[in-house]
Amino acid sequence: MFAKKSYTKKLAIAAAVSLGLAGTLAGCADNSKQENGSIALQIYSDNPSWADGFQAAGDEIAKITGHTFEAVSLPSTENYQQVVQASLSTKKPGDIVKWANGKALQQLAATGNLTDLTPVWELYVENGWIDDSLRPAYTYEDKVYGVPLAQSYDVIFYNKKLFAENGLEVPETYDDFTKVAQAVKDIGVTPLWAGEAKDWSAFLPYQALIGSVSPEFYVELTENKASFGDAPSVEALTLWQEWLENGWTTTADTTLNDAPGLFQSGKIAMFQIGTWNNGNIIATGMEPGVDYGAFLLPPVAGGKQAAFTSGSALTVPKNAPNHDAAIEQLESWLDPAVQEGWSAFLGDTPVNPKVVPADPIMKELSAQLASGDVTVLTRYYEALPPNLVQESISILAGLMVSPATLEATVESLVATEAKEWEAWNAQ
Amino acid sequence: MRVSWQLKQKSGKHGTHNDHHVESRQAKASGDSPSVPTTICRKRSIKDALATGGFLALAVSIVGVVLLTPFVITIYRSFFSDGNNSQFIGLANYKQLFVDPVLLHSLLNTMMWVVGSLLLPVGLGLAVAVMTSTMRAGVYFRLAVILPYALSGTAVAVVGNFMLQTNGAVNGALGFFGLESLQQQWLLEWPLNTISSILINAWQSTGVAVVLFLVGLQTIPKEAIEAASLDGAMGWKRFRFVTLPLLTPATVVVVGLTLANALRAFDVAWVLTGGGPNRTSETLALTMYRETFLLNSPGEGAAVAVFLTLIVLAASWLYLRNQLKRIA
Repeated sequence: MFAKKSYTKKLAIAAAVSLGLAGTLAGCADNSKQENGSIALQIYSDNPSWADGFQAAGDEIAKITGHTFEAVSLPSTENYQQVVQASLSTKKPGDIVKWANGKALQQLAATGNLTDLTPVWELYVENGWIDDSLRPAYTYEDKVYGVPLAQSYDVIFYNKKLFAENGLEVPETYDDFTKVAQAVKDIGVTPLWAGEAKDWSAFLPYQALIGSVSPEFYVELTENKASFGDAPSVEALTLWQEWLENGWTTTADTTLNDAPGLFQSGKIAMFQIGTWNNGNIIATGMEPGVDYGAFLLPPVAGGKQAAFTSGSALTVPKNAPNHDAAIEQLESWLDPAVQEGWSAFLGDTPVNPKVVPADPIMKELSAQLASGDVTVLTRYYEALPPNLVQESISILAGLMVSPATLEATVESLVATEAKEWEAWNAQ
Repeated sequence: MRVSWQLKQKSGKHGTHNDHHVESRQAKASGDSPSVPTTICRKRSIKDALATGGFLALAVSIVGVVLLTPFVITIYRSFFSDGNNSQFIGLANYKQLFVDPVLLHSLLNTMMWVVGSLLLPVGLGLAVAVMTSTMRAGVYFRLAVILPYALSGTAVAVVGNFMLQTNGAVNGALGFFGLESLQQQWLLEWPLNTISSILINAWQSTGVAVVLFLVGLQTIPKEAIEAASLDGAMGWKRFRFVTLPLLTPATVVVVGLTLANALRAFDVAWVLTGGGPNRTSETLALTMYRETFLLNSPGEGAAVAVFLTLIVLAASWLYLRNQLKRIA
C-alpha cells in the first residue's frame, strides 16, 4: 500500500514537472503575439545601440500596421554573421534580419532562405520613397531581397574646437590633409582613428586612400578588372604606410567602441567612419555642426572626391515565425513619418528622399553629394565577394600592425584575390 | 565456513557478481546439485545485464545523438566541396589543409597552447596546492586562485583585453613605474599575442588544477608522509620522492584534462585577439570556426574539425594509455 502511494506520488510529481516544462517551452515558442493581435516582430542586428531607435520606429509603424519591433542584437559582427547564417534555415531565424547589401546580400540570397521583397521595393518606388538607382545593391538574379536600413557615407569627422584652437582648416587637398595630421601630431594629440586590426574596420584607410588615388581604379578592382598588385593599389597602401609610420593613427587595438569617447575628449582629432556612427558621437554629448563636422578625404591627384556608401539591408527569412506581418511591417518602413524619427536617431542621411535630414552635418553632406562633384562608390565591404572581404581585411590588419610588411601584404592580397574571385565566379 | 570467509575476503570489493561464484563453488564443495544455483546465477546475470543496459541506454543514446551523430555528419561533410553546388571531392579538403600556411601556423600556435598550459596551469596548480595544503591561511590563497575558475572564458578575456591593450592597464602600470622600455603591443604581435592569451587563460584555469591536486593530496596516507619524515626526507626531497609519486593519479587527470582543453583552445583566444591580427594567433579551433562560419566554407571547416579531433584523441590516448598502465 505504501509502495503504491509512493509510486502515485512520484507519478504526480513527474507529470507536474512535465506539464511545467511543456508550458515553459510553449511560452518560448511564441511569446510575440499580444492580446490585441499586434505582434512584437523580432528584428536582428549586430548593433545593440540601435535598440531604442528600433523601438521608436516600431511604435511609429504600429500606428499603421499594429505591429511593433523587438530588437535582438549581438555586439560582435563576426558572431552575428555566424548566428544568422546558422539559424536562417531553422524554424526560428528571426522575423526581420539585418544584413549588408551588395555581394554579401547576394551570397545570403543564394542560399534560397530569403523572401523576395520585389513587391515591397515597387511599393516604395511608387510612393517616391526610394531612389530606384539603389536597386542593384539589393538585388540577386533580378529579385530584390533586402530594403535599406540606412544609407550611410564614410567620412572623416573632425573636432571643430580642436581645429579652431590650433588654427587648422578643413583640408581641401591631400597635401593639406597631411599637414593637418602632422600639426595635430605635433601638439601631442593622435590625429586619426582609422580602423582596428581585430575588427572589420581595418579596410577603412585603404578604401579611403584608393578612392583618393583613383575612384575609377577602385571600380575596376571591385569588378575583378584590376588587381591589388596594380600601381594605384600599391600607391594607396604606401600612403597608408606613411600614416602608420608617422604615428597619425591610433594603435591598432584601439576599438571602434572607444573611438567616440576619445573623439569627444579630444584625444583624437579626427574619426574616420560611416555616418551611421554619428548617433554614437552625439551620444557622447557633442553637438553636430557645432562641436564637430565632417569632410571627405581630398583626392591625391586632384579631380573628383570619392564618397563610399553603404546601406545595410533588412531581409525577411522565408522561415520567419511571423513572415506575413514582417513583410507588412517593411511596407511601411520607408514611410516618411517612420524615417524622420529613424534617421534623426541615427544622425544619418535619410534613405527616403522626401525626408529632410535634421542633422546639420548630414544636410551639408547631402548638398555636397547632390552637387555632382563627388563620385559615389559602393563601400569595400559590400563591393567585393564576402570571402575576399574577410581575407583581405585580415591581411590589411597585418599591415596596420606591421607597416614594414608592405611587400608581403601586396603579395598576400594578390594571391587571395585570385583564389577568392575564382571561388565567387564558380558559385 | 573458514574457506568461505577467506574466499569472500579475497573477492573484496568486487561485489555481488563474484559472490555468486563463491556461493556456486561452495555448493559444489558440499556435494549439492549444481543446477539450481547456476540457474539462479544465470537469471541474475541476465537481470543484471538488463538493468545495466537500462541504465546505460539513456546515457549512450544521448551521447550518440548529441555527440556521435554530429561527428559522423562532420566527417561526411569534410569530403564535399563548398559553395552552393557542393560535390564529392574525396580528400581534397584534407590536402588543402597541409598546403595552407595559415593552418600550419595554427598548428604551431596550438602546440604553444599545449606546452604553455602544461607548464602554467598544471605547474602553478601543483605548486599552489602543495604549498598551501598545510598552511593555516592557505584557504585564502587557494580561494584567490580558484575564484577566476568561476568566471566564463569570455569574461576572463574581456578583463585580459582591458589589461593588455596597447593603451591598457599593464602598459599604463609599466609607464607609471618608469619602465617604458618594457611596454609591448601584447595582443598585436606574434608570438606575444599567443603567449598573452595563454597567460590570461592560465589565470583562469589554474583554479581547477588546484582543486584536483588538493583532492589528490587528501588521498595520500599520512603514514607514508610520516614515515618519510622519520627517515629524514624533508622539503623538496619529500615532495619529489614521496608526495609527487603518490599524487600520480591526480596528476594523470589534471594533465589529461589540460591537454585536451589546450588542444581545443577557443574562447579566450577568440575574445582576446579574434585569432588576429592577420590570423597570427589562430588556434586550430579558431581556424575551424573561421573557415566554417565566417568564410562560409563548411567543407574545409569540417576537415579542420576532423583533423583537430584526431589530434585530441591521439594525444589523449597516447598519454592516458601509458599513465593508466603505470597507475595500475
